[in-house]
Amino acid sequence: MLSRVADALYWMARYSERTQTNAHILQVQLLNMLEQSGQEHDYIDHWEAVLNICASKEEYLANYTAIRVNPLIDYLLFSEKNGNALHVTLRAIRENARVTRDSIPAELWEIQNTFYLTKQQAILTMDRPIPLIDLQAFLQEVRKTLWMVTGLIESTMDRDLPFYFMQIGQWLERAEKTIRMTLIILEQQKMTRLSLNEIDGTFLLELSAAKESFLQKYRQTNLLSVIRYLLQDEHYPCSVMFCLKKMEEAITAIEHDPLSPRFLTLHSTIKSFVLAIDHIDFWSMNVEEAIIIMEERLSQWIAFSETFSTIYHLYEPSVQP
Amino acid sequence: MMNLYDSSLFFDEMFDGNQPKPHYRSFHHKLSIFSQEQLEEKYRQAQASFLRQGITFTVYGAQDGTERTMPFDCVPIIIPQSQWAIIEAGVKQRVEALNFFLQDVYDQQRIIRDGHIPRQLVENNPYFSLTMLGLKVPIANHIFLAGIDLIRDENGDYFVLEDNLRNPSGISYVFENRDVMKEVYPEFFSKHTIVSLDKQMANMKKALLAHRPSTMTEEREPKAVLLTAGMYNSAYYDHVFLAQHLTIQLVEGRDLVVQDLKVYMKTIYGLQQIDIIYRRIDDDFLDPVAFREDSLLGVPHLMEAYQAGNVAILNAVGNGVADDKAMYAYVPDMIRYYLQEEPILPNVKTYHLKDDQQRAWVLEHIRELVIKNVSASGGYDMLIGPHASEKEIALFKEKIMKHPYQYIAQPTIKLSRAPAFQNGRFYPCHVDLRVYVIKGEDCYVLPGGLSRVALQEGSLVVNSSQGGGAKDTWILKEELQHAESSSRRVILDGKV
Repeated sequence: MLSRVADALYWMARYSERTQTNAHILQVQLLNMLEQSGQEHDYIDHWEAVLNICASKEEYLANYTAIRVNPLIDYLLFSEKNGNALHVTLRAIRENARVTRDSIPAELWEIQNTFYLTKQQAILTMDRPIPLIDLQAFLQEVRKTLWMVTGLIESTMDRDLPFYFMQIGQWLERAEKTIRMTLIILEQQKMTRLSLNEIDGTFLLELSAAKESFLQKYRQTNLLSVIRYLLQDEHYPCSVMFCLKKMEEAITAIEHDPLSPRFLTLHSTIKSFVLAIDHIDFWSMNVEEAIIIMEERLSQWIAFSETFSTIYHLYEPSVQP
Repeated sequence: MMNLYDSSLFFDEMFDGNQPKPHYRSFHHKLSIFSQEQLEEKYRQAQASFLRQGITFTVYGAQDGTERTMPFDCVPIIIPQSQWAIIEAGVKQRVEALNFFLQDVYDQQRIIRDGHIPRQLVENNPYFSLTMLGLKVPIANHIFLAGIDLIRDENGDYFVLEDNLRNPSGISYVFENRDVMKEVYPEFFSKHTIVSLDKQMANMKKALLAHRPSTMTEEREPKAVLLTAGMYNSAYYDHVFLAQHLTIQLVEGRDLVVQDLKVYMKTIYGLQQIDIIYRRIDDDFLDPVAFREDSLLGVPHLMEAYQAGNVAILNAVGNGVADDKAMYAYVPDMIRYYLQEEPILPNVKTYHLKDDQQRAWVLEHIRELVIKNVSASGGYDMLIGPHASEKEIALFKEKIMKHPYQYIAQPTIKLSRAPAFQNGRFYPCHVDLRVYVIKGEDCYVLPGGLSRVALQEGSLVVNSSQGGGAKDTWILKEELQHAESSSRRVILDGKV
């Protein structure tokens, strides 16, 4: 497979995953905001966390003077200045699909193309600020379309190189997001004197879409158990551990030879990451120590995705937002 | 349902007076059953289908979004088998002769020495490529895919309007038009037996893989790719379609690299050698070392690998010398010279403007003529005398005086028309037909081709970049057409 095509497929999957998660996070926060009091400063902390998870506060503040809800929503959804704005990542998915359309199922391209041409163009032409109900409907549409895409990939694509490169992109992006989310929620608690099992972890559970699955297994929603679940649970599909297992499968499928230098490099990195995640003992940590650990894991993770790109001669994202 | 128009002004593909021609009768009957609303709904479905599939072309410099679907018209052009047989033989003959010409012009140049073609017409031609002189191309074939544009005059006689031997585009539309026709208008197909397009891609692949580079060892299977300029190119869909159906990789210049005079593509496992490049970028952009330095689309040193015989490039480099509008006038002579045959399909009369006598006559009769720039395409830099304003005429007279060798003149042909259904009504539109010829060790003609239609009423310009659309083209299987009681015939509406 051409490196350029592998690269575009990998990024298409990453953007697809990113868009899905960001749409969910925005939906959660838009709903949360309704329940909190009418005072903006009551929920601005949450918006700040959302901003840091979905984009970057520094970049935002380079363009705006203060964090206020309407401009922030606009920034996260539509701004061309934000490389991770939903509109921009959706376009990147479609463009990457367009350059790889001879390697993906025709229906996959058609779903993405239709969505882009209809729903996405339609919301751009709406008067601002867009009513909450329309925003929610759009976000739901985004997620539904991407579920359909994921299902289509899963059920129709040959288990061949294009499929596995998309898999790698998806799991890499997902685990990175989980680590980032955890880190940012911890950073918000930096000033607290409480221990991890005294802090409420509901917001993190909601952001990571893990609430339903978590509550079926645990009753306590303290931050300690939530973080352990998101990092170490082997069955929850957004946990870092789960993503690592899936990536191991994909690497094994891409490299038929378990003795090839490429396989050995990637496989040993994955294995050591599994150990590193498994061995974190959050019980004995305070918030600050947990932050340091998560910062380390995040930079390790980013280094790992760079190693992957180098090994397979991937380009810079061929279609950057 | 169809409101008749005056079909006597031009040759009409479908009507004789107010009656459909025999080969259109059955179609006409089917069409008349639909209400206007049904036809409009079907029209919307067809356009939506093209858009959903991203079967679009890019309009350079357009303001309102750059991706457009080519307007599709549901009234097909139907060609009886006997007529098609003539067209098929005619375009094959033409491509054979043009290929001989390209072999000759880059080798002995016998045709020039024997005085049939002026030397300066070849040597001053911007597409004449010195790098091709003496180069032996695989299976001595310069033309893998040709698009021959045909028109019909007021008597219904076919003429060749243009040869496209560089990168003729639009072949994907032939297939997609048929697909959308089957999807949206299945009713039209009943009671017709038409030549299917199914096997054509297999022929094309066979022809493609026949171009083994001279240095390739017997036991190796050739590896072919399609070189595209990328997704912002106006014909990107065409490239995707061909790569998919020929089952070859779609590559961009940056995916290829030349090492030791061999061409490789960059894969995830490292470099892999390739043997045949079906390129869809122009000569100028192929190799920034040999041609335009500023080309970002090409592959440095590609021409050196080509000259070393390590890679085949299709269509061959330098084909433009044979298909420009000035050389066009000499194609009948080429047919006589190389094949010792009379041309089956005639040319449109062409005046050369560097000839003083011809130029004087043309300037006097400019209102009756079409003036074309010899190196332009896509309907650009063209004057249609009968429709032009005083200002345009003055401008073209000036251009001709300044660069006489750059222009040719042709009589305005009363292009044939066919009915089109657009914006809720039927009206007559001018049409032409691009026939695709595929040449490897054998020569194949795609049955039908791309019928292009000038959808602006009265317009003569069929190019998609200027408001043209497309129609499906049916070649009837004559012998079955009138065999009413054939029991093997399956009819789509369930009746036999």
